[in-house]
Amino acid sequence: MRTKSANIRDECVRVNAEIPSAVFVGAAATLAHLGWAFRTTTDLDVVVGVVSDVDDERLFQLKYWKDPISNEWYTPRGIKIDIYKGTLNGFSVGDIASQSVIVYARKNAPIKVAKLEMLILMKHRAGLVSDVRALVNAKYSSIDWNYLEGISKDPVECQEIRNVARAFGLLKP
Amino acid sequence: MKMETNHPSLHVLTAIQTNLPMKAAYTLDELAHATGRSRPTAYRYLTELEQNGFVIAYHRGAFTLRDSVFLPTTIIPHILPSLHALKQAKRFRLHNGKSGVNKAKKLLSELGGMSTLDYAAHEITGYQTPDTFYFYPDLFERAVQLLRANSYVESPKGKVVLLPRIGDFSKPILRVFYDSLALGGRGIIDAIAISKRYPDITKSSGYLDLLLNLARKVEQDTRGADKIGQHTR
Repeated sequence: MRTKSANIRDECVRVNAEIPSAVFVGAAATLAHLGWAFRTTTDLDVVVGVVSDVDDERLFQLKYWKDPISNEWYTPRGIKIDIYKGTLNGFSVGDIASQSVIVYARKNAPIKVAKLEMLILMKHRAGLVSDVRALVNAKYSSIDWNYLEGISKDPVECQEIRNVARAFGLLKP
Repeated sequence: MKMETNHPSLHVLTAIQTNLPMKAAYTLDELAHATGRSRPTAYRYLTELEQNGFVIAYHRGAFTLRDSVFLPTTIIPHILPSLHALKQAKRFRLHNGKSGVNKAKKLLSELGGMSTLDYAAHEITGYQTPDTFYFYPDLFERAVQLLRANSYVESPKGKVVLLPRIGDFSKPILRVFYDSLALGGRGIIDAIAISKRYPDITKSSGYLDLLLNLARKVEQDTRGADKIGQHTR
């Protein structure tokens, strides 16, 4: 039996093929950074590097559809997709896109996801504390602390992320 | 009303809820400063929280708390059995490093007991993808032996979790609801989804039930309007 997280993984690959400049943020990015083993809902959150990739006309051509009542977009497979423009949790969509990293969702199927440090700060700013803990605990050795400090809005924010690592006994003295 | 001695004191919970913002981690100094108490008193607060299962990790003056510590105090007595079970949980993985969730599900179901949290919540709501298999076996030690005999080893990051049966199991959905609240984090999302599906069963959560009902009303009334909290994911 295929798991739901496997379905999300496949959906990321399909969306990436349809919207080449899509960068996954939110739960899909967390899943990708955590090796596709984490709890998520099935909706997708993306930002795009090329705005014309997601104008309404283009999305309708791709057979994406919009709920007329809620105005929310759905992929052709019926998965809800939130496409963010402007800023997201204090980061410009342009910065998220330009700093994104490649993760292989499947063999020969790369997708772009938000950089780990940006994702941690986005989750932190959104108050999703359990996701912050999961990312810091599992990916501690991959975190570029200098980079994280550089993109934090102030030293306190960076220190709060360090405290998570400290509580789990990960910080070296 | 005096709470039972093995429950967290109301004044400790109130001090935490009133003075600490919800964050991924805190320091002992922050706790002392926020509550206006000395560091030793803050440490005593923390010990009390730890004994009741609210502390996820503590190391060298930094700690993380389950966000269930911020739930209305009226709900706390309902989730304490779940918190105590989580505190005494044993985590397993297969000796070869694999999670062994599917194998454990089969083995443990045959032994008897009740699954809860991720997989149980997913069965009830179909909402969030499951990750870890939490199980209340009818016979805890027997279940431990069974897993060990089938190449499972204890591991802090194991995804097969045995929980001792503490508290009331007469209403399985209600128990999964309270377990989800106790776990905190994405468990709270499960609890909300369970409440949405079975409002009659979860209405015993009192004020929390009122909040959830109001949230559903707001969601229904604002459907079609601009998304609330669009940029706060």
